[in-house]
Amino acid sequence: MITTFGILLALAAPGGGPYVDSQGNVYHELPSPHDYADFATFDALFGHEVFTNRDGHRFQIDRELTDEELAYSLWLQEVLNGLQHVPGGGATVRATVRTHHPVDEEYRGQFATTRDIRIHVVGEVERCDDALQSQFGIDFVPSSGCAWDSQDNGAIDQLLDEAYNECGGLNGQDMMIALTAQSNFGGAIGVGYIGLPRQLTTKYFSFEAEIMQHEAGHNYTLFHCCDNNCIMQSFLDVGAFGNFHNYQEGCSGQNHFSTMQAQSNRY
Amino acid sequence: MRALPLPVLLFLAAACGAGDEAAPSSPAAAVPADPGETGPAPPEAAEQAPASGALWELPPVPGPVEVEADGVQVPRIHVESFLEKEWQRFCFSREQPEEATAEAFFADPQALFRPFARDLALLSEATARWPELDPAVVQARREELERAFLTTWKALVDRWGEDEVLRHLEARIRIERMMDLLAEEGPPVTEEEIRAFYEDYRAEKGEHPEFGFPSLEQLRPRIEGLLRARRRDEAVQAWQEEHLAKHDIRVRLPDGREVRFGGG
Repeated sequence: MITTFGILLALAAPGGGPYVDSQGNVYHELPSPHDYADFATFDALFGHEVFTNRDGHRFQIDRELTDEELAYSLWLQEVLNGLQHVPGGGATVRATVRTHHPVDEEYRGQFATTRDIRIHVVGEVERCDDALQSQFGIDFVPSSGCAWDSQDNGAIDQLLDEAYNECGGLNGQDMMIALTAQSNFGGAIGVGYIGLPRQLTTKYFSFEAEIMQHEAGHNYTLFHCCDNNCIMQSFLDVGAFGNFHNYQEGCSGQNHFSTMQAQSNRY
Repeated sequence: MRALPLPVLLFLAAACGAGDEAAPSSPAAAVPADPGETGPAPPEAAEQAPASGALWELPPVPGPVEVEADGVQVPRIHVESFLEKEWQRFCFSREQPEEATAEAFFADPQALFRPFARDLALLSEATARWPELDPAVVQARREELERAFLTTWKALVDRWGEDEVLRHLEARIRIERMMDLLAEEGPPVTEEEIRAFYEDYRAEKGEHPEFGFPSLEQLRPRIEGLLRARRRDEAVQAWQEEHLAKHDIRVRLPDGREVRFGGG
C-alpha cells in the first residue's frame, strides 16, 4: 500500500496534488476557471468546495475576477475608498496581533526600495484589519518581513508552504501573510488554510487588502458563503469589504459575524 | 484537473489526518508550530529564518512603561499594545527601522501619550458608570470574537493570556457604550445630510462611462455609517477636551521620568 501511495504522490507531484475534495474525488492539480466554459460553471462546481492537500491542510479556491467583474471592482473600490472611516476616539485602547510577511521576488521587483515594500505592505495590512479594529479594538502590527524566492510553477498552496518554510514559519509572530506577484496559479488569487494563521495573497491589481481579509476569514475557519454583502463569497466582492454576514447562512452553514453592535462604525 | 475517484482514500485519510507529522519529508515539520496546531515547536525552529532573507524586523518595543488612570494600574495588554503600534509607526517612518532608538521614541512623551491618556480618561469614566458588566454580555462578546476570528482569538490568548484578553474585551464594551452615549447626546444624522453627502461625493467622483455611479440606496449604509462615526468621534473629542483635566493619568517611562495628564 505504501508503494502505491508513493507512486500516486510521485505522479501527482508536478500538478501540486494530490488534492481531495469533500466527496473524496482526487485531483492531480487544482481546478482552474479557465478550463471551464465560463466562470459561472466553475463557481457552481467549485465555488464552495473544500480541498485538502497532501499535508492535510484545507482550503477553498479563491478565483480571479472576470474582465467585467474586474473593471467594476476597480471602479467600486475607488468609490468606496473615500467612504472609509478612520477610527478616532477610543482607538488607542487596543490589543495587537503581530504579523509576519514573506515577500517573493516578483512582488519585491515592483518596488524600488525595501522601504517602499514595507510602506505598501503596512498600508494593505492596516486596511485589511479594519473589521477587527472597529469591532474589537484589535490591530495587526506587521512586525517582520522576509525576502523569499518563489518557484515559478508551483500550485498556490505549495507557494504558501514554501513561504512558510523558507521564511521561518511564523518567525515568532502570531500570523503569517505571505505576498506574491506571481499570477500563474490557474486563476487563483489567494489562499488561506482553514484554521491556521497563514495565508498567501497575490498582488492582484489594487485588491491586496480585500484578498488578505478574505484569506484571513479562512484562517478564522470561515467558508465561502452566498451572502452578497459578505467578504467570504466565493469570488472577491470589493463592495463587501469589511463585512461578515450576521446570521446562520445556508451555503457556508456558518454565522460569520454576529455583531452586538447594531450601530457598527466599521465603515 | 481530472477528478479521480481512485480507491486511495485510505491513503489520503492517513495523510490528511496525520497532518505535518505524517510527512517526515515535509519541511513544515521543522518550522515553528502555529497556535492552531498541536505539538510543541521544535527547539531549532526559531533559527530557520535566513538572516539574509530579513526585509525588516521591528525592534523590541522599549519598556517597561507603567500607566495609571485615576489610581488604577492600566492592564499590560493595553499599555504594551498601545506602545507596539506607536513604535511600529515610529520605526517605519525611518529609512531603517532597526535604527530607531528608545530615546528618540520617548523624546516628546506628552505628544506620544496624549491620545492614549484621552482614551484612558474616557475608559475611566465608562468604568465609573458601569463598574460591573453583565457576565453574559462579556461572554457573548468573547464567543463572538472566538467564533468569527478564531485564529486571532487564539493568537491573543497565547500572547497575552485569557484574563488580559477578557479585560480588553470588557474595556472595549465600556468604551463603546460611552461613545454611543456621547453620540446620542448630539444631533442625529439626518436624511438631508445623507443626501447632501451623496450628491457631493457623486459630483466629486464623477460617473463611470460603463457603470455610472452607485445609487443612493446602494451607498446609504456606508454613508450613514461614516457620518455617524464622524459624529461620534466629534462627540468623543469634545468630551475629552472638556474632561481630561478632571482625570489623573500618569505614565512612568523606562528612564524613570513621569508624565502626567489632567490633574485629578
